[in-house]
Amino acid sequence: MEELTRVFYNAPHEIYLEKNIAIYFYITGVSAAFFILSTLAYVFGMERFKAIGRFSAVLAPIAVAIGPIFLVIDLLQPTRFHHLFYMFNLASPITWGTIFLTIYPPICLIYIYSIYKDKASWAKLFGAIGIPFSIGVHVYAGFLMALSKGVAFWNTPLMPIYFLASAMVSGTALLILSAIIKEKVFGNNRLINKLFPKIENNVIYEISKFLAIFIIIDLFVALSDTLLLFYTTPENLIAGQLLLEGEFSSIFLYVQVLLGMVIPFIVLLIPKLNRSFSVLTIVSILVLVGVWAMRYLTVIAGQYVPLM
Amino acid sequence: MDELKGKGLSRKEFLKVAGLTALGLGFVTLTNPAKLLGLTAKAANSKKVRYGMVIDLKKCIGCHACTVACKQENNIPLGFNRTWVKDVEAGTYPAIKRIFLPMICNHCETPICNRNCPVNATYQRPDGIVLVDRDRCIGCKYCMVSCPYNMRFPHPYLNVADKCTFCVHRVDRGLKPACVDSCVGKARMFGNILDPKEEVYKIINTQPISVLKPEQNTKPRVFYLNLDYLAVEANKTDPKYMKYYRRNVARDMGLSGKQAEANYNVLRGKSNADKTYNYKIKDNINKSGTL
Repeated sequence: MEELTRVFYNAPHEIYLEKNIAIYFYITGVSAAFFILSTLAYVFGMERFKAIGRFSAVLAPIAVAIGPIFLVIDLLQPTRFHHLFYMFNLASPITWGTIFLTIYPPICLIYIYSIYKDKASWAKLFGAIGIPFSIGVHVYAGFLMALSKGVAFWNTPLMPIYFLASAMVSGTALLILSAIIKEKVFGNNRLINKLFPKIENNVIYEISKFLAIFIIIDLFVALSDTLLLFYTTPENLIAGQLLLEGEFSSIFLYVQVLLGMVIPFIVLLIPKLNRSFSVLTIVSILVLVGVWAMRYLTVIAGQYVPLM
Repeated sequence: MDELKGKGLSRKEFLKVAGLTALGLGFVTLTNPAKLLGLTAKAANSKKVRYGMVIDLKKCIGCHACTVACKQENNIPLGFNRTWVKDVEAGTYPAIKRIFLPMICNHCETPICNRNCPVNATYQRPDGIVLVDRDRCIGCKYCMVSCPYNMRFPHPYLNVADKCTFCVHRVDRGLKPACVDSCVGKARMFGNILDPKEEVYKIINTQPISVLKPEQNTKPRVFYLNLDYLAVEANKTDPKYMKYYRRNVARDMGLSGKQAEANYNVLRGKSNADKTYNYKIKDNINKSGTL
């Protein structure tokens, strides 16, 4: 009926959650992936990942310490953030996030401590406890979006899975990038070499294979999510049109899908290119930009869709 | 008195009868209030109050008096509304019609804003009115993206979530909400939807009523009579709606796109340009507000 109806007056649906929230989702996603990748060595016993596992275990709590700053800045009343700890409502996903964000960093620190003190059984125990918490600290945000009825684009059961998939992609890419920087730029730095053992080139190549697997999973989830937009509610249809032909089509199609997923995946499959550190650096930067586009689009484009 | 005398009652006897009658009335009042008030026994015994609203769209003339009355009553800042009238033109010339759809917080039976609030700042009174505790609210804006009816906004000066209160300060004193009292066509009706004496009860139980977005399972308690779904669907089917809307608002205000943006930022306290003005208003608003 679009030719037959015209809205003369309506109150607009504003964009309430903005870039800060997208940055926060990005950072916690990276942290969750760092933790999960580090447990490959210390929980699942893959000895060859020990060096990179130690490196990513240290990076995980650093990332999760930065993230909540963006959340507090985004509050209308930043000084009241402490209400979250004693006025909590257990039905709210934000409370789940508070619980995860409170418990996860101490687990991380105990895990790192046991790694550095060579207590293998402790590292295994706290790594195993930490896996659900590291997933929770990021995936609660997916539930946060999925449980908000006001934004049709978010209100889908795929959202937590989409979040986890893109978190693994961004975390693996950032780990590859930082491992390359550590080896190539700070390779002769005494302090860093003392803290972290040398990461073998083969390990980085192997992690890049994981990246390819995570990218194809993320691409699959993104495809299902976008495809379903066209077959459900009218609001979802508008969201789908915004992504494929509207204001956000260039960011979605070229940055998120083409540069962030398709090109890195193809490059990682080509035998000679995936053994070059310069190519891996470019690929991981592309992937990081692509996942940032995904976070930005999920948060902002969803709220662009008018209601009522 | 003369008539009574004529029937042979002395003044003393009259007082006696009157006293007994008063006593008897008092007795009836104390023992059987339902009979005296004309309520059914069930409703009187349950004593439940659940406020709701019925909006008859055939009576709405689109005068926006409710919007204005609400802004005056509740001191709503410029650029925000707790209630408004959506205005849609439908059809092609010469068969054309104008549809008005008054929008207000639905005070749902199972409010998603209440369930999603992380600090219990949003709460529901036993009579069903959903309110925001301004001292608890941290302004996480999650309720605003949770509400499927788009009824919440960030209060630019108090920096908390704000929404329709069904004019709770008036309702608690036996008055009706400002939008109901100001409605010229009496399109808006307000009352206890469990009380058989109320008009809203009769309409809800006898007329074909509809609610907005029943599929969201929020059980709204604002009911519409003669709801035209063209109005509900209007901007849902228009993908360019937001762009169109922003352009039109800017044009109506006589502003360029950049000026409209700046205006928007000032309204939300994000711009430095007008900070002194904002602070002045902030100082003048009582923290407990009009609630």
